[in-house]
Amino acid sequence: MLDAQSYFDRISGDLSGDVKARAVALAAAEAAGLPTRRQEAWHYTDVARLLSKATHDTLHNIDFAPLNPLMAVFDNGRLLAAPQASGVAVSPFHHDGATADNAVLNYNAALAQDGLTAEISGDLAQPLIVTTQGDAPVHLHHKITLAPQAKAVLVDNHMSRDYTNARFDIALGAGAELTLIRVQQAGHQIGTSEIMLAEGAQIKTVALVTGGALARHEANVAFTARGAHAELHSAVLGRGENHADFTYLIDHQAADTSSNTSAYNVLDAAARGVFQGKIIVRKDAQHVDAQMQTRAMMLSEGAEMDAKPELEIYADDVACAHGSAIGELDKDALFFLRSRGLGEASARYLLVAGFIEQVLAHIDNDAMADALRALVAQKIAAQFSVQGDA
Amino acid sequence: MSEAKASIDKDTVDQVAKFGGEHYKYGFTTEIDVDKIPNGLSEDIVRFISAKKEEPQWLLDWRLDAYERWKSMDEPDWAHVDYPKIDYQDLCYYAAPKSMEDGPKSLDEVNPQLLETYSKLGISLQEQEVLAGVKKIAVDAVFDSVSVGTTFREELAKDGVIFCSFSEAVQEHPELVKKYLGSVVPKSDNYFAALNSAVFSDGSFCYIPPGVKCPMELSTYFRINEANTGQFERTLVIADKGAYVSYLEGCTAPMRDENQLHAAVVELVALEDAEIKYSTVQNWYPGDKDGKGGIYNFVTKRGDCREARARISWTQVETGSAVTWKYPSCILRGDDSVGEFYSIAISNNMQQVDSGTKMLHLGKNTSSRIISKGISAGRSSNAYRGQVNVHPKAAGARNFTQCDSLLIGDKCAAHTVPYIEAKNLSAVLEHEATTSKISDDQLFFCQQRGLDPEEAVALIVNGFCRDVLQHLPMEFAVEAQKLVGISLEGSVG
Repeated sequence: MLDAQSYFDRISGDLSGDVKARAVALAAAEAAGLPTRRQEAWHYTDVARLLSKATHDTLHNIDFAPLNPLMAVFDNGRLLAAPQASGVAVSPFHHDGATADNAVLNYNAALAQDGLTAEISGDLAQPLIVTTQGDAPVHLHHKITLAPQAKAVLVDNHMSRDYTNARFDIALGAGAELTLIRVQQAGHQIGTSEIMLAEGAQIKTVALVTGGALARHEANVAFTARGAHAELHSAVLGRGENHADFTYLIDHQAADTSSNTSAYNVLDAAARGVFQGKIIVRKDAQHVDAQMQTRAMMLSEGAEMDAKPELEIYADDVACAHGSAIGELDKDALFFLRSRGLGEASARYLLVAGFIEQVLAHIDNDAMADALRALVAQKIAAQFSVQGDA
Repeated sequence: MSEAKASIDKDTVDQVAKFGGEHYKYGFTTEIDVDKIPNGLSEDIVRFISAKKEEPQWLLDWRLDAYERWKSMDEPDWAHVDYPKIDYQDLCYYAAPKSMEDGPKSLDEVNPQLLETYSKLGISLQEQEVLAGVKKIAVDAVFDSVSVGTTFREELAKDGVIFCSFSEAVQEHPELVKKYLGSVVPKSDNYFAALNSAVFSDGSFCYIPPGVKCPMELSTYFRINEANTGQFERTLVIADKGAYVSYLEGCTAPMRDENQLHAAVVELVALEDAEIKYSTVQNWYPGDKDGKGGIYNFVTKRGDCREARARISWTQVETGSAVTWKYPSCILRGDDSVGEFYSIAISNNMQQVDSGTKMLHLGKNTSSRIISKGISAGRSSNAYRGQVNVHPKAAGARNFTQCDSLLIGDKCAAHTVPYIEAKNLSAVLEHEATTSKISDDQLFFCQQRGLDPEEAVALIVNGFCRDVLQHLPMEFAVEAQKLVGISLEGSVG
């Protein structure tokens, strides 16, 4: 991990916004330090230990070309070129450095050098791809706003080999619809998404983690008005010493809101999957429907899955449920495929790919889903103990 | 009606009136002289308690060590409960009925008011035939920290079963106590367990020798009586190889205005092929409808399936206490051992419950089952907090968990906090949780058939709890079903 203070001193000349406020945020962050396992929200993710681990995962380029996307590439923390299209208004990065109540966000407030600030209106036909690449530690703060009734597909394509602290502030106006795709293949990332949904707004996130010594994806979703809906789906293909942690706070503040969360983890070698999902239904938020599912497939000794699906309910007329199932590859399913003439390895491949497909199937855009399927196929074939005589 | 009983009854009526007519069936206070020590906790108090009970040096050392550790510990604050800070120096750590000084030689010598209290609780210390003579229950009644009477001991002794108060066990079976005390819940396990280890007053001790199926269900009635005395019970149940015991614990407490602390420790040890079934009905005073008064129940209960094929089953019906902090757990150490947890937790008015279980799978092919039913009504808060942990070496571990919450009214809260940790490839863990309310359709249907709303709620809730109720011994199941109805009075309509 970098020495934050000296790093700050080095880059402070280039920082935008109120540098004094940033110094205050840094002091707050340094006083608290990076989260430790003693903090409940970090019980399963030992940041200091994971940051000290090297990451050797291969970065595959995902073929987004067929989608004709808008690109926003952050190379070592700097936006190369702002995407230009009608319906996307990009503003220069401005940072107020406001102090937050946790160290991760405070480090971000102090050190964020850049980020995409965009307001999307209308129905954006092209997907907007935010790529984070490079081999240096970076702090990014993105602010994406969807005007009422706007529609967009946003991709958070994490291609960095080093440490990334990324914050996404996402606000959806009334009736807006956003599909958010996230992919992490390597590196160390602590990502925080603050998602705000107005009346009737809908967000669907599909996250795919195929590597990385630390992949912490935290999303805090606030349902502020009726009719808001969120789908949060994640898939993990973990191997080696990969550590993937999805932590959600799903906060139903308003009545007639709904959410559907699922997490599928395939864990090979000494990989570790963590899922922490907390559904809150506030007082008077009646008629909330909140569902949460966690699934883990363990492929080898040494793999570990930790799940903590929480419910915190303060209203009575609600339908909330969570389910969790952890087990090894289904031997009956394997036998069935073998009996149909498939080799052991290709049968296992199919079962793993099919397991992950349950997440990818949530992507409506076929070309987008296919791009991710191709990535998954590459990962499984190249790196998992399931390939062989396929 | 005796004069004493009349005065108690009047006292009860007055108190009930004072608390706004709150329904609490067992709200009465027995006036008996009590031998008390000054409030506060210090090394001297620990020495005093130990000396009073004529304990051997090793136990005093054990207590003092626990006290030392307790001093450096912090009260846990992670539970989903909220209560005013407890001043541990303002509590009394020992109270024994004064009549004990003379040492009643038989039940005839026991203070009649005490017997009166028990009879109100529906316990008879004489031999009694329960449910038309089907079963006998041995009662080791606990009255404010000191056991005052033990029955059936002779009959149990025939089979070699030891069932006595903890103090007696220390005197008569020191080797067993020394071997097993603190072996399941170490003295520094947590804040309340450490406090209990330092100042525990008395409790029950039970040892079932190898191959013996305990001929009757063992029962202890706990009762908190003197105001402001924390009760620190210590229960130790050991089932030796191939033994079986079913142990019942039932609790009622008189109505009190001030909060009372109860920090008990229960340790169960099941050796090879042994089985322990531990059932609890807890109905301590929950406070009035505004949350005034009520018991704080901070209990550490843990069972150790120490050897192969051991089996421990916890069944609990929690309807009382203002604040409950309780996680009966199983350490599945022996291969093929089984842990079970069946729980009903009902909270009404201002009650707060944070309860659940831990299943720690250490041995191979261990299995566990958790069925938890939480019912919240009024302005109460009811949380299930559970952990299922599979150790890397626990091949073939299996767990099934179901925790359902039922909300009655829109001012209560229900929480579910499961921790599911699998570190073994072959572990199969399933967890399901739901939250729902009693539907208007169900209520309408019952009322249309002539039930009043409260009966309808009791019926529906009993149905919701059925999976757990059927695991209770029959005597308890009947009581528990009634309790479910009583606890929810006033929650609808």
